[in-house]
Amino acid sequence: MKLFLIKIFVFSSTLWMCGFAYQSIIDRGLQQNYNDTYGDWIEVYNQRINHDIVILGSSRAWVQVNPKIIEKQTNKSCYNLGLDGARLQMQKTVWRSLLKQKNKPKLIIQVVDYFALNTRSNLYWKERFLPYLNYQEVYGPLSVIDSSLWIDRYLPPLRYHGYDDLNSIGWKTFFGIKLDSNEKAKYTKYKGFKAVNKIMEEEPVFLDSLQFETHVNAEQIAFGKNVLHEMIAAFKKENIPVILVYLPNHHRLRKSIKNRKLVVQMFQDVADSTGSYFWDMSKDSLSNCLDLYADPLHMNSAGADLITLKLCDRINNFVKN
Amino acid sequence: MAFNSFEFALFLPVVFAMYWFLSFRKKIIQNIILLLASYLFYAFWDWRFLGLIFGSSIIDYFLALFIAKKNKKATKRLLVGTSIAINLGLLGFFKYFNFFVESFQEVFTLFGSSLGGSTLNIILPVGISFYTFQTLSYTIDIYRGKIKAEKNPLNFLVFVSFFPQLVAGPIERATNLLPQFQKERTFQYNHARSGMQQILWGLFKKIVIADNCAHWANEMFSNYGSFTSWDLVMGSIFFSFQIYGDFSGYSDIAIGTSKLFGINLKKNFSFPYFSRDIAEFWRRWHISLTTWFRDYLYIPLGGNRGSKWRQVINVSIVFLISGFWHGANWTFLAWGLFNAILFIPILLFKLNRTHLEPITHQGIISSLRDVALVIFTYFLVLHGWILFRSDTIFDAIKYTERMYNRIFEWGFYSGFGIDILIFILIMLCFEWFNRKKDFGLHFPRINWLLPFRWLAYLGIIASIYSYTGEPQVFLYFQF
Repeated sequence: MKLFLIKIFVFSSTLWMCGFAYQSIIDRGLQQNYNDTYGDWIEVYNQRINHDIVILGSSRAWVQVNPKIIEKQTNKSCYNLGLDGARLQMQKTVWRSLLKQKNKPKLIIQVVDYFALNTRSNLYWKERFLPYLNYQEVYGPLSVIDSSLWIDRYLPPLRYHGYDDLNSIGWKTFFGIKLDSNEKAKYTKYKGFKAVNKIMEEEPVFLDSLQFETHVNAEQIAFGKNVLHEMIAAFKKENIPVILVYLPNHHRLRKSIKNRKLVVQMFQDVADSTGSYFWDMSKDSLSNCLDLYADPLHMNSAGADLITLKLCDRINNFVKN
Repeated sequence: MAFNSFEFALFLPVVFAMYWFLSFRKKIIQNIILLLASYLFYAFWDWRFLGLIFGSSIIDYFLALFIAKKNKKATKRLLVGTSIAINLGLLGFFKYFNFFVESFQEVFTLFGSSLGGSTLNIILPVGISFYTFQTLSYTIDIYRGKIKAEKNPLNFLVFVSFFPQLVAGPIERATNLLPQFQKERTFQYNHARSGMQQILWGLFKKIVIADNCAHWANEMFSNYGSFTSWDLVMGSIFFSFQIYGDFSGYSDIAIGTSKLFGINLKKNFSFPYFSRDIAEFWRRWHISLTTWFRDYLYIPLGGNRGSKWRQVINVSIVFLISGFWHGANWTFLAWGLFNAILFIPILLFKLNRTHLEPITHQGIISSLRDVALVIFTYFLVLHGWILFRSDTIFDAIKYTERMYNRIFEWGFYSGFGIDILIFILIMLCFEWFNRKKDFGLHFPRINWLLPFRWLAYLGIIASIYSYTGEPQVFLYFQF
């Protein structure tokens, strides 16, 4: 038995080390791949988010807050770290990584809304996190969402199992081999911001009959409150003010949410109790304009530019005071 | 829990550790651990059917005790008849009820009248075809006086539910397996090492060969109308390796896992695609089922005794029932009949025991005659697999027709990768060199070869990682 266990141990260790080496090559390769998936992470982990204002949040932040306009209107540098499909728990990966940087931002705009409170049981678009899973600030928050994530972290190279394209791109990039045309991807965003050039074709009347009353329940509201408290406390420790901003969803979507008031009140309570700020722009008149939306949840590029201009006015007032 | 699942990768080491380190070499504790592990393993599929396994095990346990106790032949016959009726009744209800109802309805519809009665929403309990045959063989063997009835219920329950072979065989005999649970097991290094190698080989066959072949086989059998003749030839070849990799892979993992617990299971596959005639093929394919039918159906029917006509009937019955055992579908019956048609001439000319030794058992290179026989046998088997895989007999006929009608026009639409063919070739090479051994992954035990052996194991693991096919449920779970 002893010999058997020793051999199993030695073989497993050899296997683990080979797997680790293989995985590290892919990790490193992908971490050098400056494209829409990894470009912003590369900025964060290379200490290059030394901007005055940083936008955080979900896809509403990502496609609706244009740093170019903020930079022009406020004379302050800005970077958008909004994360597509990310609820508050997933967003922790971003701000925790951001706080590891030497150069900290001077102001955080945290985009919040009803849908960011919903809790997911699966990791949406998992591959964007894979090369960074060895970092506790990324792994920690995600492991709460996906309890089997430890396999990806501790059993190399299983995190890339089934991602043939990532295996290939990672290896090729690491060894400087030219990527195939279908593997090449460019960074098409502007400092994290991705404009959506699409106009919603029809008034989303179907939303009138929907009732999002139970979409976010009391437990999820309480969970979101805790995450926001944790985030604001972490930034406060570094003397960085945080402003919670509720950007406008399409008015029909807004009206279909029956417990919206409760959620808005929660954001206000968080702001009040932490000495931070909450700007409720959700009822802005822009929310009534169909042609400013790509879908009921997201504004298109025209809508993004207009709402960012309005946001800039508030930021300028805030900075003055 | 499937053998190729992550749950099993956690389950196996935990049970292994408990079995060897917490049992204090006491057979009762070893058996309790195995029983609990087996029921847990089964509960991962569907805990509701645990009662079915337990219930049918207990019934056969008591019936066997009564059979052994009674002296009157008639009473013994009644009791064994009860056991057969209960086991086949359960199998019939869960597996064939809907098939018979639907078939009767169709027959009556053909004659212009309608028959009442509706099908039920019956879930097929995983492994029922395997464990009912196992318990049946036990009570029949007791009736025949081949073995003594097991008095210890724990030993008997573990014998029925032993997790490595519970859901897809090999179908064990009490004469082989039960005595192993009656004594304590001691750890043997060589045995365990061989078990690990066999598990690895089984995983390779399942994940790399079967699951990748399944992709193309499914594609071509589902849309045979859109492919060329040569695509369909490849489709049937892919299915032949899918079913082989899937089922023999499962058996390898089952046997390898059992070895880790000091238990020897019967060999279930013996490199069947190297067979030189159909009789040899059936001696090498799903051996535990073939021998079961031989011992409990063919021989009681009269076997090779009696007139030629009687032998033909016996063989036909066995192949038809064997086909039907695989599932409630006319295609399986047709497949059974097809094999009977291939087998009968060999039997009539008394050629069925021509090839008892493995091919080229002395040397490496085969004679051209043997190679031709292997190819011809594989060619015949391939046509059987078309029947087996098709949804209906009509589909099988259409598939075969389309496969041949433009066979002289070379060309492929499907664009399958060359890599899967390379892996099939690698598997066949390993199996060829180890065709006299128990399974395909053996290396000479020479010390200086150790690094190369390990390199080969790492290579196999790397191929499992890199060429994982779309995960498919083990084919034989549905039988």
